[in-house]
Amino acid sequence: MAHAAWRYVRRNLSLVVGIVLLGLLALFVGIGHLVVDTGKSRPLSAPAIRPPSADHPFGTDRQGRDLLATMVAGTPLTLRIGFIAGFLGVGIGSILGFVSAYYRGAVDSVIRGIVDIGLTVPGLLVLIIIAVSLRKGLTVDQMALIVASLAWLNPARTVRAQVLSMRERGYVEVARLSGMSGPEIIVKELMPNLLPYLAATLVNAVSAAILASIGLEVLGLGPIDSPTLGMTLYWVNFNAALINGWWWWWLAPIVIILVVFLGLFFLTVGLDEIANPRLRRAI
Amino acid sequence: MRDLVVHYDTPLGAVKATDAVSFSLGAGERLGIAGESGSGKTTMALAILRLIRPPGRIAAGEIWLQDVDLMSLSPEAMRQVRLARIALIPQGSMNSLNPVTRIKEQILDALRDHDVRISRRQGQERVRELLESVGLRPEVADMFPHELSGGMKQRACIAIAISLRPRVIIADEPTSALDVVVQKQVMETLAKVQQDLGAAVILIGHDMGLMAQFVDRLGVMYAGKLVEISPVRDIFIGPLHPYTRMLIASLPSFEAKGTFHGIPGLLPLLRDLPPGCAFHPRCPHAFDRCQRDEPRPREIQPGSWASCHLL
Amino acid sequence: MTPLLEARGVTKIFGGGLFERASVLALENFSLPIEAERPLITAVVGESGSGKTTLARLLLGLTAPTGGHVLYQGRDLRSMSRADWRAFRRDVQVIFQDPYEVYNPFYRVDHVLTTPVAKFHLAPSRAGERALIEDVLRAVGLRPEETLGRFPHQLSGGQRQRVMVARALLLKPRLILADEPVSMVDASLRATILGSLRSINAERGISIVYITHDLATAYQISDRIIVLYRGAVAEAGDVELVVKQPRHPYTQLLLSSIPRASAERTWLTDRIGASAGRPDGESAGCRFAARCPSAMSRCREVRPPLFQTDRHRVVACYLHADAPAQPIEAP
Repeated sequence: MAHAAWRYVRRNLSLVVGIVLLGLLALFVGIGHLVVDTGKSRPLSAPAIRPPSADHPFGTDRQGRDLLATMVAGTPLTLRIGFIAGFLGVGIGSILGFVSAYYRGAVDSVIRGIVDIGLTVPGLLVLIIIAVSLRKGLTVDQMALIVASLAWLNPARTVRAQVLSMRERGYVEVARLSGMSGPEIIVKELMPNLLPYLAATLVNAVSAAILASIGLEVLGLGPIDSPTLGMTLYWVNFNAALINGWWWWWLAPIVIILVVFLGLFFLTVGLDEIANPRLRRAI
Repeated sequence: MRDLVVHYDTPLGAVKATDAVSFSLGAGERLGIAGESGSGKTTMALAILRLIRPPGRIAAGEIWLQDVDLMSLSPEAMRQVRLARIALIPQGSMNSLNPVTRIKEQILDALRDHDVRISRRQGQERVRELLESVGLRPEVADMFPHELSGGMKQRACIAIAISLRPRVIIADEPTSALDVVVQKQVMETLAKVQQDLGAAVILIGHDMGLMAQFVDRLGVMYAGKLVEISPVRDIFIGPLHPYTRMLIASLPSFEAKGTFHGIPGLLPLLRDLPPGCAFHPRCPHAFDRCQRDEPRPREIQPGSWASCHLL
Repeated sequence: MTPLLEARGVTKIFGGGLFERASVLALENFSLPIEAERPLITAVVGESGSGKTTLARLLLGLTAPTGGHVLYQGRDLRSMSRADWRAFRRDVQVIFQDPYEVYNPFYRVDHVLTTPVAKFHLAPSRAGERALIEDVLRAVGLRPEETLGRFPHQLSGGQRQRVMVARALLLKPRLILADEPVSMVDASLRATILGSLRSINAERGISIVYITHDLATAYQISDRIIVLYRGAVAEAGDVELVVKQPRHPYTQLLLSSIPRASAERTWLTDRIGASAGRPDGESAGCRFAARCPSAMSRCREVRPPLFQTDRHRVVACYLHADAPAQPIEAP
């Protein structure tokens, strides 16, 4: 058993690295919540601009936030935006992709048109416009919905492409001749074969959503009161922490963001290998 | 080829794709290797050219080309041998032609790869000659693969294979995707180029009818072993090995209706071979020795070898 | 008596739409009635481009003809009700060529057998379903214990194809359309599968339309044969007549091109005289004229009708113009 597991590690190193990185992050957040007082992520909880010390292992920022607490509190918030937006995006996108590819015709043309146009419009621009229009203080969940509004486009297109090729398969024809209806075929015949692919798409979408949300937050269009990673970077920018040499302030969020993206990236590559047997290397 | 053994390493242990296969090929001779799927015939062809990739490996055996053991050559020397001395027309080669390159480029590519330095004019002339020798019009040189029919593509592949005048041509299922009328044309082409070059041909396939009508000697493979090898007439007049006999009996003929019977049972999985003779579970004449000892090839009649305890 | 399934003057043209340049005439004015009372095995033989796959799809209602009609029990497929379609899908079953593609790799092979049972309510209970499935598996020579519960990749191509035949039997059809059922199966297993088809026909009275490029197997199992060339019937009739005494030059070419598994070697030296190559363009006359060694000027002008040279055979060739001409029907 252990031997088989070790062999799989060697074969799909990416997947394991991805899981390990994200696991470490989860540990950080989990233990952090137990050990650290997240209340200290609010302004004026600590003396301002202190470099890392025993009291404040990550230092403090200009508004008196303990940065360790901020990271512990903020990381799950950022991830939550990513997950909600990612799941919503892939959920809606795949349904539309399935329907569009299986039924073809007018439905397909409409959905495809929307997706193609939507993808050419610069996403960040749209998000900025939406965020700016919703002037009164954003919550984390509202951020998620804003990002989700565009996150469904790419999954719709990729799922559609996959289903288009799958619907010509012999077993779909046999299912039809055996009396299965359209929706039944989508759910029972096509979906199970797409699961690995959907998982990879999901991780991708989560990654993209986190990036989009951080982008908006850095521009100051995020939930101002929340200690998300992006907001922390906004304050870093706002207070010119780089020029002032307050390195501990920008280092922590950047390292965590790096771990998040690397973890998600390796996870994607690892899942891709499962989804696409042709990429599998022999031992 | 002497006692060639090719293994595929799997998580469950080594699988013998070919086991102690031996045969000899005379100059200008046509040898057929027939077998069904999983018999090891393609593996054997790739092994001759040392094209076996991991997880496969050549575990044992020698392959002598005239007086050189191919197994002993360096990778670079082996690369020189490929195409120039031994050419391979692989399975499905007509689908492996580069779709975005014209035919003449693909032929010239092969020449250039073997450091043949020719001027542009000489190259064009050579391409024209080659195409003519396989019965293709000179205009084909400027065409793309998708503009050609299946038979024409396959003949283009033959042209590439003979471009360096090899001594041995190995054709692996060259006509399996082609219509029967086109198949005849392609095989006629192959016979013609073989005669022009004085080369030997190893034809690998599963169509016994094709073998009967084309090759001089025929070897039959089953589960990685060469169970019989004889002059082709002898095989069809009086097959020695039960598998050969039953295989021929399973072929539909035009003589009378209702005369073809399948071989009961299933082809064995190479990783799960029965003990003793690999064919014994399906053999109507099997007796207890067949379950214990693996039969070794013996010369039953002059020029005819078979591996069976009954003989 | 209304035929069970009939193609009447069916023509199918692909392409030729507003934005496409070339149109392909896949099948032209083809007729084939399949009677129910006399369950025969009819072979449709043709090479690639002959239109045989198109014919299969037309007969199954998977595509609509450009001209002519496909009739089930006298009703045009295009104007059938849902109930009619259900009856059609029970009466007419199909076996496809590729034993790999037809299985969803996610499910065990049982899925392909349980689905029709469920959808068509063939069994009242789980036990009944199991009994029915085991019954049809045994009918094709498979052992249920060795077959059920396995994934497709665990079975050989021959076994998978036999499961497909079993599946076809579940619905107790009156016609099975087998589209190249053994071309992707190993030689030693082909005979068994084809033997099953023959016994299904003999014992259960199920008509079979066997579509193939392999004249030898077509000869072995069928009663009558239709030879297609580029969408039109070249020769059709009793299989012994057509194969042993072929009259159409194309049939003769086909037969001489097949390498026989015997000790005599005449294959490479035989010259039948027909030329190779792809004749391009749609000419008005006989489709084979460009390659035919006996082509006359008449052949290039007008399509030859089917001349009935024997009681059970027709040939579409002016060489036999002395025989009475049949309008469109194949016997």
